[in-house]
Amino acid sequence: VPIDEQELRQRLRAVAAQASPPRFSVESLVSRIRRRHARIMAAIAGSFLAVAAIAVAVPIGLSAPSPPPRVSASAPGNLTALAQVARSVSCRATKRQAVGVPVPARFVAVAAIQCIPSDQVVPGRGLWQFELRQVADHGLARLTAALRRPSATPPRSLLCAAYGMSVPLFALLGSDGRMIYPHVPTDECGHPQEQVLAALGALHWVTVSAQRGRQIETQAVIESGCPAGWKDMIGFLSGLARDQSPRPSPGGRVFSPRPSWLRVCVYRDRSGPLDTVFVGGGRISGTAETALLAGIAAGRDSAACARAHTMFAVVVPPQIGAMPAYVEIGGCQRVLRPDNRIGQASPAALVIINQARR
Amino acid sequence: MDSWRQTLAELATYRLASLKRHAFLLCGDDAQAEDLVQDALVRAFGRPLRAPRPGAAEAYVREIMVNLFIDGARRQSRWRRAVPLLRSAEAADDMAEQVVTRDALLTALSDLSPRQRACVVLRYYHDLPVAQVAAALGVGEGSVKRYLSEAMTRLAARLSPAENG
Repeated sequence: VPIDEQELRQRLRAVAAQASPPRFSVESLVSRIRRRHARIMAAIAGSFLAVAAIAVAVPIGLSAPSPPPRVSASAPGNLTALAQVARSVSCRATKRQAVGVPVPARFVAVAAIQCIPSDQVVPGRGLWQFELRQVADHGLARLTAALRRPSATPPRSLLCAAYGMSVPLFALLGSDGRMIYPHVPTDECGHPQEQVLAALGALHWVTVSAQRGRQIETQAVIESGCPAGWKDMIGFLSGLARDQSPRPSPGGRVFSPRPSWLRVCVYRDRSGPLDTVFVGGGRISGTAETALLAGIAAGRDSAACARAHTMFAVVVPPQIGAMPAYVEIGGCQRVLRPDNRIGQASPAALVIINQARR
Repeated sequence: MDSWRQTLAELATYRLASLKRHAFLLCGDDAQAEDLVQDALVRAFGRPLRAPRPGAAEAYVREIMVNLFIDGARRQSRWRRAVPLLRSAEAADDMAEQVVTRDALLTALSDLSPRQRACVVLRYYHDLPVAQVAAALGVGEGSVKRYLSEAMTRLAARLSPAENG
């Protein structure tokens, strides 16, 4: 059946509209562009020898490797019928059947059905966990043969690596209409056998339905770019013994070099410093960033504080792997600096943090 | 402010979301789309003597995105799973249906070669005539027609069961 071009246009627009808003800033790109400018200008100013070397090296460097082998897709003809069967499988049942049964001798599998969790962004409504029900109808003979292999008996003395390995729980639909939840044979160490994993990995799973589960991140968390539950390190470290708690800082620049922008994430403690809830957050740059950096740069004579706080902010620079600073909201308005020392935030810094969280 | 910074700032202010949508259709993945937009902007504005003109910057960046996507996809050795869509009566929940529907088109698109996919996005999302698609990809019009024809056949095979199922 030829596809209707107008309908394709509409579908493309509908899917494109689900792309989340860009999360990067122009400021973060400018430094990359400047570095690129510098590299190019240096290359232009180089000697003829360098140019000649580049002229030789570039064609070699840019020669693309051969395209990857394509995986042929299974014909979707009989999948419609299988999808109906797959929907009748209870995902809870597949979980209950974790032990599984041996594959019967005359059993011929015509489809495998599995339920897998998948985190998906729903535009405007946050990140949700979905349970995807998937079906595969090719390559099942190899899987069935692998499942019929006996499990290995562990010898008396064997050192095994203590890694965990989970195989998605799945059901097999037989040509006679029977549905079984097969036992997965194990190796000497109790791990799923390699042949089963290889056969499962070679299956082409087709998603036939998605069932919504719990929400993982709210839309506010996604838009702010802040993680959902950052721990309250100031509160946590304050509860440690005196010799383990951070020492006071004489003050000075908090981040070096100065970041191009900052992300400010505000949280509230719930049952304790390790159980927090996201309040709000956002990015700041320019004069607000300058003022915030100045407002959290002061030092303190003592790391201790007699007043408790229930909220805190995490000030995160954009560099990957950079340590953040924590700012106490309430309490003594202390700052846990990236060097693990305690500084002091000014009232002006708290005002900026309060604005950034909205 | 440098002229290129002015152009970049204007592009970012008014057209960044549009570029992201374009990248999302090409990649089918939000994080990859984010990277693709940034890489294309750096590539476009990273030439000190050849910064894009203000009026033509968006088209130029979009063209770079297509080429980066095709080059990147060619180098990637990841296994692209071909997953057709079968809609579920169970997925009556609006969010679940949205996820399944998006999964349908994106997985159908992922079954196309990078050039076929780029052709579909330029021709049917941006409504560019075949000649402009050919110019953007640096191939002949005949090639574009062939890519489109092959892509439509594949898409029809992938998406048609959705209506029936």
